[in-house]
Amino acid sequence: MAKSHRLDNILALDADIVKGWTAHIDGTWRVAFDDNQRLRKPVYETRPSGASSLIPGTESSLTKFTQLETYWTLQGYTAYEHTISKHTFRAQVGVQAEEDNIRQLSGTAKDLFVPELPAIATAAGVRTFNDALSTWATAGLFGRVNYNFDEKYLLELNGRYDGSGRYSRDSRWGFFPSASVGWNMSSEKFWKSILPVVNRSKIRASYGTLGNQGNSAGYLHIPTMSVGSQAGWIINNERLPFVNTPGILNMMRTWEKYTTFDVGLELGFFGNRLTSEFDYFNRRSWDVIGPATPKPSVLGTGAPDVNNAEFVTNGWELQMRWNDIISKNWDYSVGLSLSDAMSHVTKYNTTINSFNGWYPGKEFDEIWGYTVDRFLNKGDFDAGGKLKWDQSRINANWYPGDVKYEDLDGDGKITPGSGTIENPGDLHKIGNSTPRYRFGVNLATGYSFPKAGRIDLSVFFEGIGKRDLFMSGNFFYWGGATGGSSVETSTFKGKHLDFYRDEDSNPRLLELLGENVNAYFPRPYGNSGEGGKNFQTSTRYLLSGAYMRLKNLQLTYTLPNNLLDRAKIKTCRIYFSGENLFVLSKLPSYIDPESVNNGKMYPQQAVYSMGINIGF
Amino acid sequence: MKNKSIKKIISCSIISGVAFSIIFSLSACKKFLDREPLDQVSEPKFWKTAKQLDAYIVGKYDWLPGQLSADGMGYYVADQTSDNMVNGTSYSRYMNGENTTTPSSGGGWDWSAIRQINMFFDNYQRCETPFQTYQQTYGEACFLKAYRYHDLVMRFGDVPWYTSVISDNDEVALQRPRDPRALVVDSIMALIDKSIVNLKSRSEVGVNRINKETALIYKSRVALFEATWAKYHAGKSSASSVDANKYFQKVIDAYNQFKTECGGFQGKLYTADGVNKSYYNLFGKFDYADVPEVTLSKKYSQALGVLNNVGYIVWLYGYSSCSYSQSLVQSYLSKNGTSINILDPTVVTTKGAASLTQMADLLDPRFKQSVFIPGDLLNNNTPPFKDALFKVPQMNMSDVSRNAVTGFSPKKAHNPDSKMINQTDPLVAGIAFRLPELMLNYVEAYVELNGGFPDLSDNIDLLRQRVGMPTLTSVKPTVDAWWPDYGYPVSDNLAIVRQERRVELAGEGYRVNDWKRWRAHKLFDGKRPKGFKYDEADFANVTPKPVVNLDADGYVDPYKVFMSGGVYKFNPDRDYLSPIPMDDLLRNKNLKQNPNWDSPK
Repeated sequence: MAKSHRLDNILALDADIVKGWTAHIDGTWRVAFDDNQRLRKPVYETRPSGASSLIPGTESSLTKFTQLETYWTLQGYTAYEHTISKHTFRAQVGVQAEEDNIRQLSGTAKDLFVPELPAIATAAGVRTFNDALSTWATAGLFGRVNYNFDEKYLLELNGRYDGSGRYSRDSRWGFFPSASVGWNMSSEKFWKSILPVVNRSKIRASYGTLGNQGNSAGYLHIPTMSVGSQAGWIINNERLPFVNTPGILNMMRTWEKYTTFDVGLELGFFGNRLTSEFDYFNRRSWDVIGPATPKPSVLGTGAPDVNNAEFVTNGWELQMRWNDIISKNWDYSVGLSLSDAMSHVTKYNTTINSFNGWYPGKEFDEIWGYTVDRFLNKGDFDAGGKLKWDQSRINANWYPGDVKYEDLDGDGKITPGSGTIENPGDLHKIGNSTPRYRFGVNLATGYSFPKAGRIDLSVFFEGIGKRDLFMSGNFFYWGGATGGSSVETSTFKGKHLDFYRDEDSNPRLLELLGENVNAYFPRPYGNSGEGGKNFQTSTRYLLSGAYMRLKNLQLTYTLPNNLLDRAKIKTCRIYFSGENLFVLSKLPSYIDPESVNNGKMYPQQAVYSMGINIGF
Repeated sequence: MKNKSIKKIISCSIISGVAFSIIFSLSACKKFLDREPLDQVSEPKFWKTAKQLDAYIVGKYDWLPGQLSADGMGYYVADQTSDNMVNGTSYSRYMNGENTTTPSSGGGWDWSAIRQINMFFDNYQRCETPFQTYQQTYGEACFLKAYRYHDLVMRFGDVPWYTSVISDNDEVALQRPRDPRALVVDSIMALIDKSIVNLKSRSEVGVNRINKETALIYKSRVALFEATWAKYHAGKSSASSVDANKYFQKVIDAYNQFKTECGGFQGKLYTADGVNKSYYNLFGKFDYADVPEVTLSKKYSQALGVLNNVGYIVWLYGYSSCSYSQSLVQSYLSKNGTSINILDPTVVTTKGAASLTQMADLLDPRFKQSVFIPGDLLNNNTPPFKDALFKVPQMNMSDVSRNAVTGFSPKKAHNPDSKMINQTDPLVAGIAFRLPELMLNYVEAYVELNGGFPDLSDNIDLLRQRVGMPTLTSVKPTVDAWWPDYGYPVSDNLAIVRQERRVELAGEGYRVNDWKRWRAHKLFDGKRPKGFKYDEADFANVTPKPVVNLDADGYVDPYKVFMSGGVYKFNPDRDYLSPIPMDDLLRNKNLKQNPNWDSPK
C-alpha cells in the first residue's frame, strides 16, 4: 500500500516601482510525503495427510517506508527600461536560490503475531530499521542587458553565476555568459522595395554557455566511508560493525558545460501568408565527466573521474507555414516542421576504443553488428555435418536454416574481436538508431457559412524520416524467448509464421504450414534459448524505424451567433476529435515505432472524443 | 498627493526589500552551499575514538587465513598445488609450467589492501584518547600490514615499500622502483615485532582476535620462509638479498620469546580425547575458545550468517575433489618411529580398502587420524546417514568432483556430530594459526643453523606424545633411499625435520610455501602423483563401477589420461616468482619485470 501526498505553494509578487522600473519576487515551497508499506502474509500448503504447513520462506513480514521531501526556491529580479529617441535599453539583475531536503525512515519486522495487522508492534521476530538523509542546494546570480535601436538592431547580453553545493568550495561556482544579436532586415530602408513580397526578414545569432550538474551524486568532494553492520569474522560470538576505506576524490570536479551557437533566419512573405523560420545549431558539451588516465596499481584504488570529456551535437530546425483564403468564407493553412540532429564524441580519455563505451569519434546510438546475407544451407556443411567455418564463439551447434554470419576479417571464425575499433572482429557499424528528420505536418481549413456557423477541420501528422533499429531481446518481434528462469512467448499470426521450414522439419509442421526455405525468420527453437544465436545484431534484421502517425484529427462546428443570442449564450462549439488514428511504419503492426525497446507496453491508444463547449 | 506618497513608501520599501534580499543571499551563499553528508561517515570526522579505529580494522579481518569458503574446503585443499594432494578434476597448470603469458593486469599485483592499511597508519594518531585504549588495534594493524605485504613479497620477490597512502598526483611514489627484498623483509619484520609488543595475549582477547601468540607464530613463519628462500634460491634467477642466517636466528628468537612470555608449550597441545582421537578431533571442532593449541580461529555460525559447508563436503561431496597423494602417505613413519616403505609389497601385503586398514595398523597414528579408514563413523545424527560407516573410498561417482581419486580420503575437519544438511549449525570452525607450526619452524631453523637437533622435549616430542608414538629423541629414523628427493642433498637431520613437518601439517595448506621456499620442485617435477593400490573387488557390489587408471604396479594413476602419459614439467627459472602485469610495467617505467617473463618491448 502506498500513499503519496504533495503540496505545492507558489507565491509571486510583481511590482511597478516607478516608470520603467519593475521588480519581481517569487517563491515556491513544496512538501512531498510518501508512505509505503508492504505486508507479506504467510502461505500454507496442504499435505496429503490433510495437515497444513507453512511454506518455508513465506513467514509473515512487514516493511514500512516513509519519506519526507521539502523543497523551496526563491527568485527575485529587478529590471529597468528606458528609451531615448530610437535607443531602448533594458537592464535586469536577479538572484535565485533553492534547497531540497530528504528524510527517509524505513523498517522491517519479521514474524508478526497477528499476520493481518500491518503493525510492527505485533512482531515476534527481529525488528530492524534504517534511515537515509540527504540535502542539496544551489544559488545563483543572473543579469541581462538588452539594447535595441529602432527595433531594427537588437542586442542581448546575459550572464549567470551559478553555484552548487555538490562541488568543493574552490570549484563550486561557474560563470556562464551568452550573447545574441538580431537584425530586422525588413525594417531597413533598402528593403522597402522588396517589402510587398518579403514583408518580414530577420536574421539572428546567439552564442553562449550554460552549466549542467550532470549525473553528479551529492558530496563529491568529501571522502565518505561506508559502514557495514556485520563484519565477516565472528569475534566472541558476535559480528561487529565495521567501516570501509574511502576512495580518492577529485576535489576539482565541477560543473559540466555546454556552449551553444545558433543562427537563425525568420522570413515572412506576402503579408505573412507564408512564414518560415530556420535555425542551425551547434552545441558543444565540454568538461563532461570522463575517466582519468589510469594510474599504476600501487595507488591501490582507481583514479577519480575528471571533467575531461566532450561531445558535440549538430542540428537544424525548419518551420514553414502558409495561411491563405480560397474565398471570403473559406480559409486554410498548411504548416510543416522538420528537424534533425546528431551527436558524436570529440574527446574521451581512453586507450581502449571499445564500442560499448565512449571513444573519440563515436556517434551516439551507433549500431555495431554482423553482416548476414542468407541462411545456412546444406552446402555449408561438410560430410560430417560440421559447419565449414567456425561460428562456435556464438554457439556450438548450427543447422540449415540458421543465419550465416559473414567472416569479414578473413580468419575463418566469426568473433566479435575484442569489441574495440582496432579489433572489431567481424562486426562493423551497420546503422544508427538516432531518430532523424523528425517532422510534423499540420493541415487546417475552415469554412464559415453565412448565418449558419462555421466548420473547421484540422489534421496533424508527425513522424520520423529515418532511423535504424535492431530488436535485440524484444520477444514481441522474434516470437519467443527465455528470460532467465521464465519463458516469455508471444506468437502472432502472420509474420511470425514466416519461419524456415525444409524437408527435414517436423512432419506435422510441414503438414500444416508447408515448406518455407526462403523465409524471413530463421529456424525456430523451443525454450532452450538456443535460438538466440540467430538474433545477434546483424544487417538482415536491421529494421527501419521511420514512421508517420496521424496524431490528431479534429472537426469542429461553431454555432452561429444569431442562434445563440436568443439563448443568451456567447459561444457554442461542437467538436469531434480523434488521436493516434493510424500509423504508417515498416515495423510489424504489434510493435509501436515510439516504444521499440522491448515492446512491453500497452500500444498507443486511439482516442475518439466528442464534446460541446459552451461559453456564457 | 496622499496616494503618491503612499505609493512612494511602498515602492521604496519594495526596493529596499529586494536589495536587502539580494545582499543577504550573497553573503549567506558561502555557508548555504556547504553541504555535507548527513547519513554517511565523512573521513574528516573519523579517526577520533578507539572504537572507530577498531571498526576500521575489524572490517579487514577477512584478510586473515583460516577461512573455509561458503561451499568448499578452503585452506584444507590448498595443498593441491604441491606433492601432498591430488585434485581429481584436473592437474595443476601452474606446476606444469603452463602459465606462460604475462597478464595485462591482475595476477596478484593488487595494492588496494596496502592502501587501506596505510590509511590507518597515516591517521591513527588523530585519535583523541590515549594510546593504551587503542594499543591492541594498533598491534592488529601492524600484523595485517605485515601479512599482506609478505604475501606480495612471496609472490613477486622485490616490491616497492610504501609507508603511507599515495595520493593520485604523487608521481615520485607512483613511479617508485622495486625495493630490494632484504629491505622490504626487514621492514615487515619490524612491523611484526611491533605487533608482538602491542598485542594482548590470547587469554585476554580470545581466540577470534589477533593476539601475541599468533604474532609470534607468524614471525617464525616469515623468518623461516625468507631464510630458507635466501639459502636455497641463492645464485638462481629467483635469488633473494635477505641474510639467511640472520633470519634463521629470528625463528629461534620467536620460539624462545614464546617460551618466556607466553607460558611455554607444555600442556598446550590438544590431548583431551586420548592418543587415538585427539589429533583427529582437533580439526573438526566447532569452537576453539578452550583449545590453547589454536591461537587464532575463524568461527562459523549459521545463526549469525557466517556459513560454510564443510560437514557436507568433507566426505559426501569428495573434499572438493581432493585426496592425499601416495607421496604424502609414504612419508609417514612406522608407529614405532622407524622408517617404513609402504610401496614394498612385503610390508603392505594387501590392496584396496584392506590396505588402508593394514597401513592404519602399521603407520604413525597420525595417518589413521588424517585419512578415512574402513570402519570410521561418518555421521551420528542425520538420517539416512546416521551411523553410516566408511567402507571404501568414494571413487565411482559420475560427478568426478565427488571422488577421492587416490583412495586416500582426507579426514581433517570431519566431525561425525556435523549435521548432514547444507550449511547448518553446528559448523566446523577454521584454524588460522596453531602452535605445532612454531615448534616445527624452530626445529627446522635450529637444524639449518647448527646441524644437530635442539632440545626436542618442548616441541616434536610433544607432538609424538599426543599421538602415542615414541619421541624423536628416543628413536631416530634412518633416512632411506625412497625418502623424498629435494633436488639437492640434505642432511639426515634436516630430512627428518622436513618429514615430521610434512606429516603433522599435512593437508592444512603449508606444503605449497614449503616446496617453494626449499626450491624443491624436484618433489613433483618429472613425475605424476599416484594413489593407493587399487582392488576392484572393493567395488564388486557397487554400481556404477569406478573409472580408474592404474600404473604398471597396480597403483592408481589419476593423471595418466589428463597428462596424456606425460609428467609434470615445471619451469624453475621462471615460475618461482609471478609476473608483474604489463599495464603496470607500461605505466611505471622504473618497474623491472621478474626474470624470464615477458616485458613491454
